[in-house]
Amino acid sequence: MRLSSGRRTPCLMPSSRVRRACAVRFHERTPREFHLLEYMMQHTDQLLRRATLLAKVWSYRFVPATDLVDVHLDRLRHKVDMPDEVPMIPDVRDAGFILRAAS
Amino acid sequence: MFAMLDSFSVQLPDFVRTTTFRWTAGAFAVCIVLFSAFVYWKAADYMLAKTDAAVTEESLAIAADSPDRQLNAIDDRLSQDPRHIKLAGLFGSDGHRIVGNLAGLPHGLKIDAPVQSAAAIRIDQNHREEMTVRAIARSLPNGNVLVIARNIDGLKKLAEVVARALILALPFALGFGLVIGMVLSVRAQKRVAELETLVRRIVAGDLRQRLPTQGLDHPFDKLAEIANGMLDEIEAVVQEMAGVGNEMAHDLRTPLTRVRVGLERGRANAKTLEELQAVADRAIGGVDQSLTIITTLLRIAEIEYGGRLGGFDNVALADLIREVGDLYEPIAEDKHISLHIASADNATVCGDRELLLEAVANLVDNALKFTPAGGSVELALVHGDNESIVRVSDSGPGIRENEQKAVTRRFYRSDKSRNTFGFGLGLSLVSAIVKLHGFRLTIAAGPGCVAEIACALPSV
Repeated sequence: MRLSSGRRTPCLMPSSRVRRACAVRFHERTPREFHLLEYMMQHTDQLLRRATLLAKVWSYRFVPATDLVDVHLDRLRHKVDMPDEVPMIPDVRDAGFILRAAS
Repeated sequence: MFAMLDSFSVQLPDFVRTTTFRWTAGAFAVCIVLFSAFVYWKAADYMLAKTDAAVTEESLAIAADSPDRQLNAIDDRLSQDPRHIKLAGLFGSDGHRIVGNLAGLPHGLKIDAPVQSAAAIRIDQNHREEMTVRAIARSLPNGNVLVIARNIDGLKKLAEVVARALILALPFALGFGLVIGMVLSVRAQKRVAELETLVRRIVAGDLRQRLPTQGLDHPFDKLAEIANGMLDEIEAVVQEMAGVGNEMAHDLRTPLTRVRVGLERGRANAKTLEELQAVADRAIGGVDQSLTIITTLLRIAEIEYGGRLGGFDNVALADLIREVGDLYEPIAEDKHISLHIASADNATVCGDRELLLEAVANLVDNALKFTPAGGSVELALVHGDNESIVRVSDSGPGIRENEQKAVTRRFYRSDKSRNTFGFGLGLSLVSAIVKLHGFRLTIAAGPGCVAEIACALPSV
């Protein structure tokens, strides 16, 4: 897990980034992606397992063999991160995902 | 007879109490009695016919004679009758007897009718005797009435003979019946005892035992065949279960071992908190993988045995596959696979929406997993015969014919997919869900996998 230490470049608060993302990049938004972001924002700085996300966001209780969650999260990342920004949702190796609230 | 046997059955051997024995003995006795009755009936019929023919013939012969020769003919006829069974009489038009050994015109005898039964009184020099006869009466041209009759007391004698024969034969027949019944029931008991020992051995755990068959079309053989078929199934299931145990242990051990090694190394080598946290993250991932296997297994068991029928409701299949399509569209795009969604049908079935979604999603998941980049996957809803078919077809390598049944088995992984990520549980879960709904899952062999869930439409 990457520490939110001084090495990080300061960035916008997630909420404002999300707002921007909503305005600029969600013009063709899918309800699921929005739901996913909403759920992650309610659980900032928590490690969210793939199974948890599937169950809570998609009400889907089985872990798929494909990287279903990762692909959806990738799409979300593309919408909330600008190329020059620190990733808002870092991948915590095999464990899951965290949406960081800025330190 | 059964009651008699019952009262003795305390001392009698076991076979006496068997149904085979009782039925054989009983059926034999009934058959003998029926047969005797039949013999009597046929013989009596024959005798009557013969008597009637003789009476008719005689009456015709005498009637054809001239009136004065008739008297002689009647006398001749009566004199050649050592057994006193012939009766004859010629009566005047006023009813008085002209000649013969009949006391009078038998009461109720119809004139110029076919031979009939009647009561007649025979007279000779010193006594008169009442008897039942077969008689015929003919009116002659001169107004007289000719009566020819024959005693049929012989029929009674015939009945006595048959009865005597029956009394003589019945014990033998009954004895024979008992012996056959005994042999049959002892044989049956022997086979039952044989089966019992074998079944005991099977119950004790020796599932390779099979019941012997004699290759005949015997009910016992059929029973043995049925039982053997059942044993084949049970053996296969038990072996599968044992296999599942092994596979499960193996599949759980691999990620756990990796976690353990990772934790050990991390503990020894991690210098900073950051590094340690990274080690912990990887460990969580590994443990999650094991937990996923356990959760899925429990879920399959829950679906298979729990029967979530309570949550059944109307499910619109078109909406369902659209949702699955939305869910998997990004993955297909990422893998450069074209995903087509086609729903020609808009059927509503009775089911658990969440579970059905899971089943369809699993099939699509599988299809996307095994289809190489550049391929295509189609999720279609087609109208079938009184059913709606959710068809997932892909351009992947498909499954071999010998794997067709195995793919729905728990932990089964095709050799081709050995090195792909997956738990080999997906299709067993689909199979469990489909079974719970009473639907049908077919997976066609050959290149380009086609998996179908045929959903029975609710009867209106």
